[in-house]
Amino acid sequence: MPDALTNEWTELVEQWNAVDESTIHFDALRARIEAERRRMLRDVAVDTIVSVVFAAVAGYALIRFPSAWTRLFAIDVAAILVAVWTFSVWNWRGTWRPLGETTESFLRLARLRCRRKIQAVRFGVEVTVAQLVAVTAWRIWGPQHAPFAPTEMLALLPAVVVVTFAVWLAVSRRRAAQELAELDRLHAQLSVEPNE
Amino acid sequence: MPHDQQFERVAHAYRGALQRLAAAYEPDPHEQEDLVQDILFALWRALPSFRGECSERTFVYRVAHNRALTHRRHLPRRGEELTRADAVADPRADPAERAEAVQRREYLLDAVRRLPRAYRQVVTLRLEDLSNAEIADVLGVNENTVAIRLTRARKALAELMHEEWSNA
Repeated sequence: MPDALTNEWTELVEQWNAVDESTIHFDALRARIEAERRRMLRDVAVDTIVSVVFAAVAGYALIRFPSAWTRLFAIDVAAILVAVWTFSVWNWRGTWRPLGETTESFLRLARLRCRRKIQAVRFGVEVTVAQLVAVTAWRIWGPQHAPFAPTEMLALLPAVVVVTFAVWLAVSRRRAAQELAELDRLHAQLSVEPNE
Repeated sequence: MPHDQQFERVAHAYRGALQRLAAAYEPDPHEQEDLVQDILFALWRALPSFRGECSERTFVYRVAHNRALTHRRHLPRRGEELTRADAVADPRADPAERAEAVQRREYLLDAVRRLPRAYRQVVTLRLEDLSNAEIADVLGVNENTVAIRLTRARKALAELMHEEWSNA
């Protein structure tokens, strides 16, 4: 004899399935999948191109204007590139997991990703500060005659880059912190069950 | 089986379940369509990593619930048509019976949306006819927890549906 609880669920299941299934049109989804593929390729390409450009500029300076200062500049660029790529790989360790995890694991992973994003912002700040110190030292004790004529634009460029980067870091940190707070709330909602 | 073929097979097989799940999380039809698209997109990304460590059904529901929980409201993208879920009329049902069935389902959906998330998860999975063991496998909790949540959720659902009927 079926128990009362099973009967209750049976009736609800019938109500739940009462409306016929609708058709799904895949065209918009295929377009989104293609857009995502292009976005992933673009992100990897941008990171790689920026790294190559920096390395190329340092290499050009080293060859075109050989001196102790350009060697120092090239070492600085190389150190940043190695530090940034190493940190990227290290920071995202253990977060490349499929979406098919249990809800419990998925939320844990999502929160870990947010904390790693905040960590990445902190690293970005540290690298920026280190570079500011290096550039300041360069301006004070560096070569008195630059290999090319200094212009106002070139003098302003570092300031513009630093300010833009600082704003981007601040916005990224705020977004990651907000997302982490939401995920923490969600985790709390799904976890607290007295007398389980 | 090539990935795209597998994905289309899974999407067709579970489209009803995904639409019902989306309706349990989003009241607005536009947001429901957006969520269904999000879930299908997540499935497309996740399927290559499926190695049979659980049943396909469990895997699909895991992905679907994970996306539904963290769904962000999106505005429709300009120039891009969202997937349209056009209701297909059942030619067999009497119109009056069909209208009543639709209304009862709306009351049930409204009540499910008002449940706390922990209860909403177990209820939507139970309504898709998953066993307690399967629900536990999707959520990553033990069966005892599922049973307790279902009992409490059923009671909360009954109260909410009674409220819906009274306010109608």
